Amino acid sequence: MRRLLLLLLLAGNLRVHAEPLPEHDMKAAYLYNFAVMTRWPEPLRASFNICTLGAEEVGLALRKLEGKLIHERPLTVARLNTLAAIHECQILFVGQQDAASLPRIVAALADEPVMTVTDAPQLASVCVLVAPEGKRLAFHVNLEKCRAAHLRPGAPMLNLARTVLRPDP
Amino acid sequence: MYFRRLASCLLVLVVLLSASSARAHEAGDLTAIPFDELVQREVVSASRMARQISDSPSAVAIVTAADIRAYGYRTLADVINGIRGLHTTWDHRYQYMGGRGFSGESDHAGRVMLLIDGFPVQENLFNQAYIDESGLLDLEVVDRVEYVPGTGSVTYGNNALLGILNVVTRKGRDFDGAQLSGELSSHGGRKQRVTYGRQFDNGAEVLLSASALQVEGRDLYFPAYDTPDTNRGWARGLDGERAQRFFGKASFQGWSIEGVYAERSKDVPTNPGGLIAFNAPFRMQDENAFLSARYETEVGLRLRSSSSLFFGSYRYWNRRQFSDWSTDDEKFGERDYQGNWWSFDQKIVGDWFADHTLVFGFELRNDYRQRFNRRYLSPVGEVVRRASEAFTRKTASFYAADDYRLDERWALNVGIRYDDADDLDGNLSPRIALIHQADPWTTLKASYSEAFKMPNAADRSSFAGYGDAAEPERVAATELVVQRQMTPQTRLIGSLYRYRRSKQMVFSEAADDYVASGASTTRGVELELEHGNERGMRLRGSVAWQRALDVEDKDLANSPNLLGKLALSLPIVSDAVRTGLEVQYVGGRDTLERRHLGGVTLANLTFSSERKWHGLSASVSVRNLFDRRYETVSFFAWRPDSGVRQDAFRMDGRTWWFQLNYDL
Repeated sequence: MRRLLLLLLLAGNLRVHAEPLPEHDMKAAYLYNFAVMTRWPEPLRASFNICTLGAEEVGLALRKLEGKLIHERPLTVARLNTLAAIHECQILFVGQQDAASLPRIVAALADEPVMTVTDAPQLASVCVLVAPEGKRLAFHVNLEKCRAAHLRPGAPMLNLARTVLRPDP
Repeated sequence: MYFRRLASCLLVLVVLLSASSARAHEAGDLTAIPFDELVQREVVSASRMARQISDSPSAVAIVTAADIRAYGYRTLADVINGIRGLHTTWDHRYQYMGGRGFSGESDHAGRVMLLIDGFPVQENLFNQAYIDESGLLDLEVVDRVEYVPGTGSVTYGNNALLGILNVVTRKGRDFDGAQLSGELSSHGGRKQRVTYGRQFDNGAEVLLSASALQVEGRDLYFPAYDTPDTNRGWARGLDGERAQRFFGKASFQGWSIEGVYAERSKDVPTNPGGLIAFNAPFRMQDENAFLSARYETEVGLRLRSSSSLFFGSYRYWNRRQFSDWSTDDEKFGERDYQGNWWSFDQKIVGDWFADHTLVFGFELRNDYRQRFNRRYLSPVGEVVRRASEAFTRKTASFYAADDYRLDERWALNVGIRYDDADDLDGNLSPRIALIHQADPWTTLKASYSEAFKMPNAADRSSFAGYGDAAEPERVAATELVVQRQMTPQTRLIGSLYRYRRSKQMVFSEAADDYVASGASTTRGVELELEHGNERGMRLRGSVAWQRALDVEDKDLANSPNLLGKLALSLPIVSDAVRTGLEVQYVGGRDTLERRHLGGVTLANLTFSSERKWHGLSASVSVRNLFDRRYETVSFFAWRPDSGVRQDAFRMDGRTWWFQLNYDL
């Protein structure tokens, strides 16, 4: 009987641990982790700026993380509507809603150290793609684009990526 | 008493819902979880249900382009009739919206705000929102309609008194090419439309659309005119309608420009005035146009700026015939009204503080032309008499609002707007709302707000009392809303509200004139359940109960106590066709003569193609499916010579509509 109770308790606990997480919060946490696990060229700005474009809800989820330290800089979140200020971001998350702007964003940023992330299926034009895979949220890294922006995603991040597009040797 | 019981029912529901969600978990701080563990966690995808865009703490209702298609909506009035707590009234001239504490013709103009892509578009003579075929847009270019019940003066100032219809148009990319469309409908209706939309490689986007509508109309019988002198009550061939619309918008980077021209002429078979001849030609014409430009940009990461310029134009024209011209030789009357205005709005959104979103700005508006020209013509067409009136108004407004997130669960939304018109005292409109996230799926909102309506040009023309003593009409609204996402595909909204209107115009025997001293109260409760599933089924059902009193504390005319809506849409025939069924109940209500009209249930059925076949898509729709005979309240409180009342109109029986689209 006691064993059964323990089993039930354990099962209950497991269930709690397996509680699915809201997509927007999850994406925000991924962006935070990308920031921590990637090296940006020196010098860094006074704050670490993560911006969203066409992804209002991810932006709102990110705001809950504001003030946390990334590379010893306080995290600042900006929810953008236009491309006017994208040069000031360290990470720019472009939602599906604004995916059509990606070519212009890529052209405007050129080789500036901005990590472009999107959840629209366009890995070829960005540094990181976040995409649901079954019940989980997978991510893919386009190393060529990251390096073009002078960004060095760390090995732990690359190991967790579902795919890594490497530049031709 | 009844109201109290309903209120406590809602409260119990809220408590039950909160209790049932006690097991729910907060997402917590996900950055504390090691990344290699985090990527193994399951995610629940965001709800696929439409989310509101407007910042209102009210219980917003959303109708999407998919709904418009599934239920065969052709005008905003159709959309409104599908929304919880609302109904419309048709008097063969216009559709009037009725809802919480407002009931039709006398309330609609100036008290319901219509926004198109964020711009208020009511004209500046009557401030009417055109929601029928005189409306500004074809619904095929509409992406969504949000209905915000209650006040909006804190954001939009004048006229946002009792409700806001927020129409968002589609993007060029939604069409990605040209579309031709032809329609046929009952009573000899035909419509043609051509639309072109595209997004170019450089990010620029355009959408252009033009349409023309012709309805032949038919013979209509009005019992109040069943006398030998008035054609035994038959108005012959006087219900026709013609309309044309042009719409264009273009955007590039932060710039967007938009233009609309809509003209509708309608033959009027009813008799809106006691001196007008029945069954004689009576044509009226509404012409609305606007041109707008907006520039949005970011100044750094913390500051967003939006600048908007708007030019509006409205013309109303009618020509009617009087029944008796023996004494003054005035056989025909012509009205030619013209309104023009511009406005400029500068808005700043600041994200300077982590827990605050600050909005502030100013608006300048110049109603530089509000002209009423009337001409009276002899039987041979000579001008016998002219009358003319003209008004102007300049308004300066300032506003500020703060969205303050107190912590994870509580947020405070405060705002204030000050509007100063050159012919009136300044006016303050405050709003305060407390929003509580009880758990990730349950939101509670409590709000108090005040709004106002300035006497418009038509009021200034009709009421001599609007001289130096002119005062805006006001409303104070209190609302409690509970929103619960029961599953990712099921949402429940409940709302409990009380509106107190004041400074309404009433006739004073003592002053022998209209004075702004009327007050009235409306209370109500609304409940709506929305559900969808993976296979594309969508279901929405709502019940609204309201008790609206007029300035004499009697039941407000044309205000049903109960409104019920049920809308179900699902794909059939191996997902090739979507069927949309609506059932709408409008409860009993009083006419202006205090006669009770019984409740009526109407059903509408629509079939629309889910997929395109060689570029072709089609819809067919039947309204009033069971051919119910029913009446709506008429706003003509006087009786014609027959002595028979005309306080209600018989509405259409079954009507049909067919649309065929071809994508080039």
